[in-house]
Amino acid sequence: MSVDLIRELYAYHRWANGRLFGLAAGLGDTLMTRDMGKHWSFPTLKGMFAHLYGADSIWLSRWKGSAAGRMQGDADFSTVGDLRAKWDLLEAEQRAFVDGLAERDLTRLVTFINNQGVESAVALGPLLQHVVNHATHHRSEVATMLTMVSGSPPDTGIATYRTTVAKASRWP
Amino acid sequence: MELELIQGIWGYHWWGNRKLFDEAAALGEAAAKKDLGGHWSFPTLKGMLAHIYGADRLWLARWKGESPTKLYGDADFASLADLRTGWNALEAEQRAFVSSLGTEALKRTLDYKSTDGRPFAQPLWQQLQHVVNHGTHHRSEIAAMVTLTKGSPAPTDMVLFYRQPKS
Repeated sequence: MSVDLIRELYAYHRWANGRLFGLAAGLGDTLMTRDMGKHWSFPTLKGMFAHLYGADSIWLSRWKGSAAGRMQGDADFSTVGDLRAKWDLLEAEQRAFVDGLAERDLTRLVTFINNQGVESAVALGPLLQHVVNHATHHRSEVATMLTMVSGSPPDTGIATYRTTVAKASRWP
Repeated sequence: MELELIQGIWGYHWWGNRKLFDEAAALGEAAAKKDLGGHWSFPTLKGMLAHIYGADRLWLARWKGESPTKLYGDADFASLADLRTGWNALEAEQRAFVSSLGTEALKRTLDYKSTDGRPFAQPLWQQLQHVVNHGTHHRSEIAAMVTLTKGSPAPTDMVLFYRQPKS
């Protein structure tokens, strides 16, 4: 059952990302690259989505035990279209990883070195939850930024996801 | 492991809430009531924290078999200190509920009505996951509002919570 909990959480993650990315991309590159102030984690919508890409990518590498390398961000993507193409590939790779998980994988300790060089070990299950929670934090910023440039975006809460998109969702 | 996953994110929820509530409280009552603009879900820090309280309270009542029609919010609390008193009591009640859960309880489908009376049915685990995710959305707004007021607060990443030394 825990593996289903994680898979459903990632279905939500993809749904919420797709909802906001689609809306933001529709605003065009000029609005996506507008500097909206220093009080945001990243000052532009493109930078925010690039950070989500970078975090999801580095964690997927850590889970797979491959060299994580440097965290990618805004400067790694010339345009929103460029980011979207790489995003779609990463999402497919992440989905394959999540779909391939077995119950026992969730308790496996993943050892990683964070961006400050500190080594830690945390079980895979909580790390999978971390990445979705991390994205919710930044999706909230994206939602506020979208509100500022084009009006309030549609809701991306889990309850909305469950009661609209995933109505049939239940324990197998 | 599903129980650990759900209880884990609830440990995180209380931790993240306390960190940001303390940040907001340290700014003082006047700053917590300052209107920061119509583009936030709620325009003040106090209003944002009151909304997290209201949502958490509503869902806990649903898990106990009730379907309240009132969503508590900013107007129900005279001050941040007043909210904190209610908050602490609610958190204690949540802790008792979450720690009492077993795997079977997580799978149970719970019926409830939204505040406007529409019926819904979802397994408890989904509802438990929703409330933490909802909190993270608004904690993000609180973090940005605190940043506007005095500079960036300490991070509340879930991975940092899981790295905390276990007592």
